[in-house]
Amino acid sequence: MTIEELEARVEELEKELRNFRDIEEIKRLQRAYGYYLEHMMDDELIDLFSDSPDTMLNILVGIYTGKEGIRRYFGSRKEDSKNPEFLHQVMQLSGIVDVAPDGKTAQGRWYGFGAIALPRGKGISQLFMGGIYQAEYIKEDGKWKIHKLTWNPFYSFSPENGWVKPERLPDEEDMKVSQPPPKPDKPRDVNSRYPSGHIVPFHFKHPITGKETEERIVPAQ
Amino acid sequence: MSVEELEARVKELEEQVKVLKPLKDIEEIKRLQRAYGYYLERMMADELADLFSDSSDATLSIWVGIYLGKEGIKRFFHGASEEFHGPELLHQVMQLSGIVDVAPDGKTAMGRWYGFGAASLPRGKGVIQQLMDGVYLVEYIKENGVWKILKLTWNPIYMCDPDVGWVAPERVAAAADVERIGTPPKIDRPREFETLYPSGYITPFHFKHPVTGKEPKT
Repeated sequence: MTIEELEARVEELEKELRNFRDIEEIKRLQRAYGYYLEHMMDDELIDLFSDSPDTMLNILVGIYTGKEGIRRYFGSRKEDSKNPEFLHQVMQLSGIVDVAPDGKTAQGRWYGFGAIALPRGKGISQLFMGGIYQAEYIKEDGKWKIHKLTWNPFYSFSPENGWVKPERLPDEEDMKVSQPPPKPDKPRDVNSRYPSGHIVPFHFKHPITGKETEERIVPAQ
Repeated sequence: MSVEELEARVKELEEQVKVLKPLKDIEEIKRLQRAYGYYLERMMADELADLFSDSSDATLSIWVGIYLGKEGIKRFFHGASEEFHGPELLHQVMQLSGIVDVAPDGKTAMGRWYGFGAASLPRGKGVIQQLMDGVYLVEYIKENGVWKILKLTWNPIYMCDPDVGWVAPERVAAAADVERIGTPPKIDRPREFETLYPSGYITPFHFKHPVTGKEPKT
């Protein structure tokens, strides 16, 4: 190969490797956001964001722009970070991350889900919370940072009430209105629902012993 | 660089890329399965059906039965999206904890995933709400360079009202029996920390801050 061809090949291979590392680094960044958010660790959270003036945090209460805006928001939650009764667990799950061809920016979509305990008056409000994160990332001085983060909550609900408003729950008549599913091509041969005792077959062998794990039904006692 | 130096560099990089190739397949497959979840959330029939292989073996095995081939799979998703639609529909099944293994020939793969989430299904004049949980077993196939779902089996474990839970009311243990949980086999030593809410305990961070590189506070 000529020098030009070899140089082009080196560039191509290096790009392929970099893309791989970038995705892993970005996933690490977003997951760290979740671990810090759990205890509202304001400094750690603020430092995850880009120094760019169009940096943005878009959450339920509104939009904060620039690092100063983001500092203002998380800074206002400082009391939460000192309260042992506060919990803000938002597990960062199921991330799809795509890096732009130039390797300078990226986008991600994640689920956030977890258990929340918010001090309210003399008591604590408990909620399960779920929603979607849309994130834009930027590489600054060789480090991936959050550029724009949008949190779109679907629901926050107390465990005893659920996420559908009481007046929208179906009554007995409604429960009878069920359209049969499109005709299946064949019936299933297993019942997996709790408490069937069914253990879904494993496609993989035990990571350490290499032993097979068989499909089985745990018998009733 | 000289030609020799460049050739050595190319060889080294090619070795690294070769090692990473299976990981790239795994990453693409995880992306595929997670996309399935995001589309399923709003019962996006066309997007869902297009994730499946064109092979006549394509299979969707779900609670209500088994659908075969792309036509069968389309029939199911279109039927489901006709029954369940509108702003009150939420069919959130987060695709979690995936273990994906690619066959040595790089043409097929298998995966096991948890599905967990909140479902709101319009029914009659109201909306059913259920927590949903189960296991996915999935076979993948690479067609024209693109990973697709060949066979997807969803084995639901529970679908329950959040206020009722997944154990039938008549089988829920009495308060006195719940107390008995506190007798494990003799421990070798006690733990140093109480972690349960509201202890305020923060589990130590093994990693430095991704951006500042600062050591974590303890």
